[in-house]
Amino acid sequence: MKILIISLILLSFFSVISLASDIEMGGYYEPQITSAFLKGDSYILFSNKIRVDLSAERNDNLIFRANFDFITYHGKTSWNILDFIPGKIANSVNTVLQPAFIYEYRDTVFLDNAYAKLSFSAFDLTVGKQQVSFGTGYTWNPTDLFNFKNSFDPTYEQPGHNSLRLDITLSEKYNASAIYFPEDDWSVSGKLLRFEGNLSHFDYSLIYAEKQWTYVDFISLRDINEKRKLFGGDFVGELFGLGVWGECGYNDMELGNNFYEALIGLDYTLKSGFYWMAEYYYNGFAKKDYRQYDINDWSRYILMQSKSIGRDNLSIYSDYPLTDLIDLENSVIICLSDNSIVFVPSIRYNIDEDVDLTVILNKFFGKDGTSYFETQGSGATVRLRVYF
Amino acid sequence: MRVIYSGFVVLGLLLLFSPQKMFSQNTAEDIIKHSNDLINQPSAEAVVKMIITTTSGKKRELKYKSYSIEKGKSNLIKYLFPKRVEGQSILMLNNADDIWVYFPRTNRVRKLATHAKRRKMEGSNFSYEDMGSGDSWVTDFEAKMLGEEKLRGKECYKIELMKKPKIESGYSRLIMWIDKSSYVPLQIDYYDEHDPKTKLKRLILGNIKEIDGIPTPMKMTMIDVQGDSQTEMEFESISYNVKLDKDMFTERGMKK
Repeated sequence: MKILIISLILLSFFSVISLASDIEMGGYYEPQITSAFLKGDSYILFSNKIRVDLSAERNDNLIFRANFDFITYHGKTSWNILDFIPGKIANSVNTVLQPAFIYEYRDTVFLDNAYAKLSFSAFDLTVGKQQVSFGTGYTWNPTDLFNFKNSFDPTYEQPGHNSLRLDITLSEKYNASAIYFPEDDWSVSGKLLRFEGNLSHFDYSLIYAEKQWTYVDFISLRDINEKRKLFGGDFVGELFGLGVWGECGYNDMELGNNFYEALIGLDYTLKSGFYWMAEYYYNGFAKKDYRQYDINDWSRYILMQSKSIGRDNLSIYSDYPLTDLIDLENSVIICLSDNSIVFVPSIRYNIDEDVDLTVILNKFFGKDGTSYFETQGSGATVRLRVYF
Repeated sequence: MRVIYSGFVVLGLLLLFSPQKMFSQNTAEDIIKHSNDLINQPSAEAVVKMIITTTSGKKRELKYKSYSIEKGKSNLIKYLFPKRVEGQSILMLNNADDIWVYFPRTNRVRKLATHAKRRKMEGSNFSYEDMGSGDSWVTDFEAKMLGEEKLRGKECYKIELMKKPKIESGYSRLIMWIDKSSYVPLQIDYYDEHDPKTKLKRLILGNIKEIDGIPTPMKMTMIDVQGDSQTEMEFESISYNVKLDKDMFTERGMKK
């Protein structure tokens, strides 16, 4: 199957590459400073990213798109994960194992997306490395098995996944999608089926997905592989003038305990343009009592292998257009299970037609050992994006 | 006696159907309907240039392609320029009661609730409602004739539109100046959702050209009367009654 998909990708690639003269190029340059100020220590990482987008369109039926990312890192490129974990847990890690918790940022060049999309009246077939993300949630997406959002910066683009995707229009109100993520063989390959419908002002979907979930056991430092099956659904619509959405997923695990995840959100825009949104997220995979969080819970959360460390979470987000070009945003993420809070205010300034400046700050408030424990300190991300 | 009685009947009928009577009973609504039909053709395709002058005096230029069917009830906007928003698309169905926005950088579609209708589109002075409200002038507002006025040398009907109860709109009333000869609106004032006395914006329509036999204002300027910003919108090209596939006005269509 994998060979068939690679052949299809190559076939599509070469059929479109023959149109080289019609290829459009764009992208952006993105210098960024990421900093974290801990108690007694600080991390400042500089990065330069160039993303080059290529696009060729033979006609309405055949589109090819790709992008390459070039990223260089400078400054503090070696981050010790244990510095971001409560001292009591970090100190319990065997000194022999401690070097394994060092994360190195290395310069990288990679093909993030490369796909061909064939469109017909009743369906679209997309072959290649492409972004695949579902769910109506803003900060978290319980029905998305294939991506993990950074809850401090949830709108940042997600990486591409090598896959074969079929989107079918069943009728004016109903669509279906089937996605296959090829791996070594069929049994460990990812699969996704999604049925989407519309009822009055509500959109809803039912989803089935499965994947081989690989994560690290940070106690034995071994990779754990287990099949994860998700049965879920989502909706988005309007109730009493408020925007309302939700997601729910039941995860059937091959080795570990089965668990639920659920999310419900509300939003409203005031006359002044002030927009606010609240989301509650229940993560059945996480522990309820913060005193039971262990090195695995923390490491998986920091390395974005799990969506939250605490079980009950609330995100309150607001956006106010200070001027036509400057947006003030504020996000407050509260872990209700362990009573810790992180404030994430941000400013987005459209400096010029194709230049955006984003400043994201964060400040933690919580008891030692909780999700957002205070000694994690504070941090800032300053990002300039210049489109070309 | 019978002749006199018949004469009264005829006189009564004449009075009942006199132009004056027709004018006072129906004209405002008829004019609005006529104007609405003119603005919202069964289908249209256009390339639009938008220049936003911000409160700080900076200018931002956007270009998009717009498609509409069902007399403006279904609208699709696809941004062409600048690079920052290229490929982004907005689908507005049911007179902008249902809005979806597609972000190509994340390949995600987000549905916006009705309250988002009042939000500015890409920082311009046009809200989603202004762009995709279709025939809401006729369906969501009560029309009342305020009189006749000369505007920029043209004889106009001055008509007030008051929002009907239980209708979700960013405006409580509109005042429109409609050219008597062509039925093209030449100016529209928009009033606050909760305070019908507070004027928010003024739309000036000009450079009227005949396109496919339809008088079309090629340039529109929306002025924020409470601030210093304004947005000019100019059709670079427009065609009416074009054949557009209904599949375009779906999530799949947004991504193409």
